[in-house]
Amino acid sequence: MGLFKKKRPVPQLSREEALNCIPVKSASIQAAQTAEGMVRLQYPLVLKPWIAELAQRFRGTQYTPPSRQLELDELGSLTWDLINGKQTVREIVQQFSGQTKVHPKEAEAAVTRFLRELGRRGIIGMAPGRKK
Amino acid sequence: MIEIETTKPHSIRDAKPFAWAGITLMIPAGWETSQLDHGYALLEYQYRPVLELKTATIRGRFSFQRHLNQLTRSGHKRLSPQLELTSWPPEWPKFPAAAEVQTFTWQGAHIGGQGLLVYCHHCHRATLIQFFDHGDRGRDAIPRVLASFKDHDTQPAPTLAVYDIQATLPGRFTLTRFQFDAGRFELVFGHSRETVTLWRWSPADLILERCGKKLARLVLDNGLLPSAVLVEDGRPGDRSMEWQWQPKDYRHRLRTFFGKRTQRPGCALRIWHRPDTNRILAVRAEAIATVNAFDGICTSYGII
Repeated sequence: MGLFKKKRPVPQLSREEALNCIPVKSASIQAAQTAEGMVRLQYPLVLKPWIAELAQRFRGTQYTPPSRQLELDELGSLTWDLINGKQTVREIVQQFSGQTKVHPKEAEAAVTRFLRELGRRGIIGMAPGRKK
Repeated sequence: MIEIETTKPHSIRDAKPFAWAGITLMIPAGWETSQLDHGYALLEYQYRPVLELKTATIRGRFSFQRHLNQLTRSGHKRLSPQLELTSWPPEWPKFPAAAEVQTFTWQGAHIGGQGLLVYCHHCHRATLIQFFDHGDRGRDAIPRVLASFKDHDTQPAPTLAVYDIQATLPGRFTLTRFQFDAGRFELVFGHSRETVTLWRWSPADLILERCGKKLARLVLDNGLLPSAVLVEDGRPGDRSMEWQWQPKDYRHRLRTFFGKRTQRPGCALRIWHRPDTNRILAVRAEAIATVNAFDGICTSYGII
């Protein structure tokens, strides 16, 4: 029975593998620049399928998920600009560290936390990267 | 104290200091601090671990096997593979006879390494150092790193040299609390009623932009000064600000009541901007005996 089927543990990436991943921007994201030069992202809210289904039945018309806005600060905007679908997380960390003169370890912590947050909101995805 | 004899002069051109938990080493410039804890440090090179250090002061009699087992089990990276005791590698520098030393190797599924356990009879400190072997030229650095090993100092040496900061404090101070967050470091040292706190912020240009390019605003936002002192203007210096004040606690009131005229310990805070490294540094001393001691700490505190 599927209900009682034991869940298989999701394989965890090693640090090395995670750093070799390539962050890719979602196609449904609209990025704009604010007057202060920061990046403002507009992204669709990811709903659970049953909530989306319920919303569509109540509305009767084609349901479009609500969108949210996220305004990035200076460092977030810098990191966003470094995501080009080609560079690995490691390369983004190195460029971030070089441009801001931040210690590499701090750069790694800040960039990976930021990418994790973007991934949680469905703004970016991770493509398997090349081995170094 | 352990001072190692070495026949080759130690080149410091491509080396930098590392000091944590009472252990001082000179490490290759490319090695970076990865994790720190009480009596624990992990260094890495190009995102791979290269050196792990565990140290503890031994109370009572030192038993080599018992403390080796204790130290290998403690810390973040537990050594699950079996250790194999080995003879002293010929390229490693000799430790003095006063130190008990044993070398070992281990091999795990993906990685292996070699290391040593050192016990100093003088300071009763046992230190386990292991070098991870990635099959590259990392092994070449081991003799130089070991040649610089010190577990306590008679000569001036940094009390602290981790990540990108280093500082020298009088020997009486011990590290009581620390926090390393991306962008903000805070370390608190104490001795009796004396407290010294070190801060480091990065990137400075961005932080200053948010504070209206005023260090005083940064001090205010981070609550570095007591509210009674906040109203006073700090003494400006070259890209720096300084405040000095007297603590107004019950000891102060008692001294005033009994009319004592002895010099009272004071408090001071200095914050300064280092544009060359894009860092902001700050030192706060509470109940410190002399202003000279505070000045000395501020002078020694810098970026590696």
